[in-house]
Amino acid sequence: MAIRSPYIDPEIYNRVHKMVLRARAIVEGTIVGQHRSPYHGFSVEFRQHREYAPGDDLRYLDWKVFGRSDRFFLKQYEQETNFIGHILVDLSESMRYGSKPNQTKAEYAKLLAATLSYLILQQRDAVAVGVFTDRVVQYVPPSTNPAHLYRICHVFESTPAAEKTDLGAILGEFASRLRRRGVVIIISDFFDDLDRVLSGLQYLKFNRHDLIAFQILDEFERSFPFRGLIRFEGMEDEGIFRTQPERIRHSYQELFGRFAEGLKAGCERMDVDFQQVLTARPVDAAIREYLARRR
Amino acid sequence: MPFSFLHTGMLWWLAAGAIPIIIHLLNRRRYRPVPWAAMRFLREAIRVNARRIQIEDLILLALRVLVLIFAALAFTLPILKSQLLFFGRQPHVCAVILLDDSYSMNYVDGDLSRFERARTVAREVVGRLNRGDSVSVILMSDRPRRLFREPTFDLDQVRNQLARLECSYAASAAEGALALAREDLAKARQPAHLVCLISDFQKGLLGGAACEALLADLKKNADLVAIPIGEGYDGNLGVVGIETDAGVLAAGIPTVLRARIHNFSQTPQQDYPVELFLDNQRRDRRWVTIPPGGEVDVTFLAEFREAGQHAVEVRIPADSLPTDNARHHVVEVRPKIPILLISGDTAGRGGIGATEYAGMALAPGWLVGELEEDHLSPARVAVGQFRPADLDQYPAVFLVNVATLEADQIAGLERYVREGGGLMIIPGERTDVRFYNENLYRNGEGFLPARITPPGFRTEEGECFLSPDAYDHPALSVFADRSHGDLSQIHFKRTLLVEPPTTASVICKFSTGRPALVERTFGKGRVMLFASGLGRDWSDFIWKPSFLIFMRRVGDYLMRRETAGLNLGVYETATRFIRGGSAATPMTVVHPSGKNDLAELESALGGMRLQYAGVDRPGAYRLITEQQIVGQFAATVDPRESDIGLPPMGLITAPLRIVAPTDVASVTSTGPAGSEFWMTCLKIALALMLIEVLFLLWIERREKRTTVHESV
Repeated sequence: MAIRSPYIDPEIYNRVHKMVLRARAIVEGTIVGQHRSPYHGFSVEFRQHREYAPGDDLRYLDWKVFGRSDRFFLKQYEQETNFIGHILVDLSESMRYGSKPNQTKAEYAKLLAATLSYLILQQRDAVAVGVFTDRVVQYVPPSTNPAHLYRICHVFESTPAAEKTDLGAILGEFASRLRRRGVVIIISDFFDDLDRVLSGLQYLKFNRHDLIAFQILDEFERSFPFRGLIRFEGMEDEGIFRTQPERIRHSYQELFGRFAEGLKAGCERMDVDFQQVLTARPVDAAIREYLARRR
Repeated sequence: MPFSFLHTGMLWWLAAGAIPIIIHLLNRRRYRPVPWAAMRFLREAIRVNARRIQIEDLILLALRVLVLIFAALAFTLPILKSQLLFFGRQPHVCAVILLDDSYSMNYVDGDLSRFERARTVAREVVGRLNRGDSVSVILMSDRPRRLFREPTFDLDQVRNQLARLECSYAASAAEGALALAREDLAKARQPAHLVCLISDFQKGLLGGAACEALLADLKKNADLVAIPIGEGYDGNLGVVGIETDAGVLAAGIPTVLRARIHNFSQTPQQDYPVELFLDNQRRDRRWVTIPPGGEVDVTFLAEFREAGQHAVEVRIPADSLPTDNARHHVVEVRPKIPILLISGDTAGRGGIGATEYAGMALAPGWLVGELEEDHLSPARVAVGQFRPADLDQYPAVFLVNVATLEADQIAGLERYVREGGGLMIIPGERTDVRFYNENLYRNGEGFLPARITPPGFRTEEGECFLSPDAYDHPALSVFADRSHGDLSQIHFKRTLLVEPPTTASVICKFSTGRPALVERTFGKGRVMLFASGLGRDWSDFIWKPSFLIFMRRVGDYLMRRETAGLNLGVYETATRFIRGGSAATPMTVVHPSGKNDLAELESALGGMRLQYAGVDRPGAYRLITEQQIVGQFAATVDPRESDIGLPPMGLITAPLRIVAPTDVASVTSTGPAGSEFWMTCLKIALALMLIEVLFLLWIERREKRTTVHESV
């Protein structure tokens, strides 16, 4: 029986299923896999072949198979370790914003998280998902079972965006909760105090996680294209402001740009992958762009 | 206040300045709501820009408010009274020129008359006006009139018309002309108003409450300028009146003609010749002495042998004002003058009653049928036989001792008097006082001059005479000279107590203070009521020589109706009834200038009625039909105009800016109207609008420079 979910898009999955998300740092896994393991000296036993994907290490190419079939296959061994991908999704009120109907940042974040989950699961790594606002709202423990994706999607479907955000505190909480080193993917607009955000990332980094930060933005939030007399109503109980946007656009963009630069610079300092994604961009394209850069 | 506004009604538009503020307030409700996530940046951006935006908004609001205020101000046509400001320009002027064309302006100073000088000055004033100014020329006299129907912008045409203007023979008066000026200025579109009076400003020209009120009214919105004309004055003498003793003269009976000569100069005139012309023939010349400012009556004895209308002219030597050096008068001469005596007494059957006394007084030979020596021809009719239709034959009617009248007789007498007839009522013992009060007096509505207090005649208990007052009434003026009789010696036994209303006048009184002779004007005619009877039972009046003179003078006075149409003022319309003839036969009026005009004729009962509106100069006018002179009339000028005086007599207290004729340039200089600066207001509004647009463009351009920040 096919399970339907708005976050399971076969077309997107088809476009991303050959992609591989590798742990860039050394990760601790229960099995030996394609990721660099902190555990050395394990015997290597061939398990299966896997079709080559761009970015794979050429050392593991099976040249014999290539000679017979002209196709690239990698030899996979039981000794390859796996990683746990922790995907943390911000579903605070601010993520509910979308300049177009049905294209909110929250929905985009969920789709991105589900797609990344699929990507991780299909490479036999474990994935855990945490949904947070100013607290952890939902947590799906790690699993490598492909059916785990449905559980994740179910959580997304049942969790609307609500409440305020407190990113610094919540990242600190995750840092204390995720003891095993792995890949931590944070999907948020990061609209919080920059220092608190960076300090939260610092907590995670301190635990030697491989951190990836996806900043989800709506195009309007960046370009601020409004004209006329607008009454802006804060989505996280931040009050109401009446203004003529064109009169303050310059300042807004400057402040917004300064924040984004600060976030990016802070991430770079901490060796955190930072990727700004606009909701107008297809999810698979965003992932491909990131993975290409990550390699 | 340094400002005034020509269109004060437009001041309401200044409230338009509130429109941007109202729009601003209304717009607060028109903000489009947008839920927003990135509030921290928005809040900070607003905080950073709040002051700048507030200042920009205030500047924009101020600019928009000022644009509307200045635009509205421009529509009010503001006038700035300060002359120190550099902006503004001389306003367009509506000039009203009041040019005095009364005949005193014919006074010759040097080689030109005052009117010719005034005309030149008026043309210079018009010449000083600019394109866009309008002019109204009003000829100022007692018959004020506009040269153009409404103020004209064609200044050349005005100058040409002024050059052709001739002085009139009207008298000075400013009230009507000032009222016309006020009408013209009320309709004027120009912001500045100029009222320029060009006159010799005779004494009293601008006097009177009405004139002062008009001047004060004009002064509010106009520059009032007076240009007095007349450099010198060497005096003037004028013939100011011609009178005859009787209104209707009888042919062959010598009559007295009196000419009044007034010396308006400051020097006495001795052996001053005064000439009498009858029908253009010089008949007499007298030499008189006239003191400075004095007036003398020059008496001529004249006799007209033929019945008809005759022209009398009195001339004095030429001086600087030619108009009043001759005066004309037309007299009616009849073979006999019929007077109707309507009798109510019964004395005619044998004895002599009141009617007979009255008739004999008017014509002593009447009772015995010897009327050759008498110019009056009384006709007695008993009241029962009196037919109202016969009244038109008689210039005067006496109602003597009549008890009552029939309704048609009352109506006939009333019509007769209304149309100018003269009626003398002499009551008697038969008079029904109640009937008189109810039917002839009718609470002042009827022709009886006074109400008679019942029961009527009462016997005087003591002595009662006529009061020896000053006799200034024309009918009794002859008794001012006691040699003609002393009325105060007449002893009355019975008198009538009468109560004249305010519309009647008491000509003379009894020594008791009660009215003795009362007169009232009724329509065009006159009615007199004598408060006693005629006969030995009433008084000894009938035995006195003064009785004859009294009756004849009253008869003559009442007959003035016949002369009313013979002597007119200049510019009056001549109306004459001519017995016989046909309206189809053309009648020519020979004008004093020698030109012939056709008179308008219309058929009337028993003849035709003539109307002639071309009486525009003093002199004798002859009526000619079928080469026969059928009548004459004379036109005379107002003698008050001869009193020219030293100029400018009438300007002493008037609120006018006096400008010399040689300084016409200063007439059109900036007056109290100030400078018109609606154009400046409009320019300021446009400039502010431009600044507002540029300011908006600057803001927009600055905002366009803001590009989307390309972050990571």
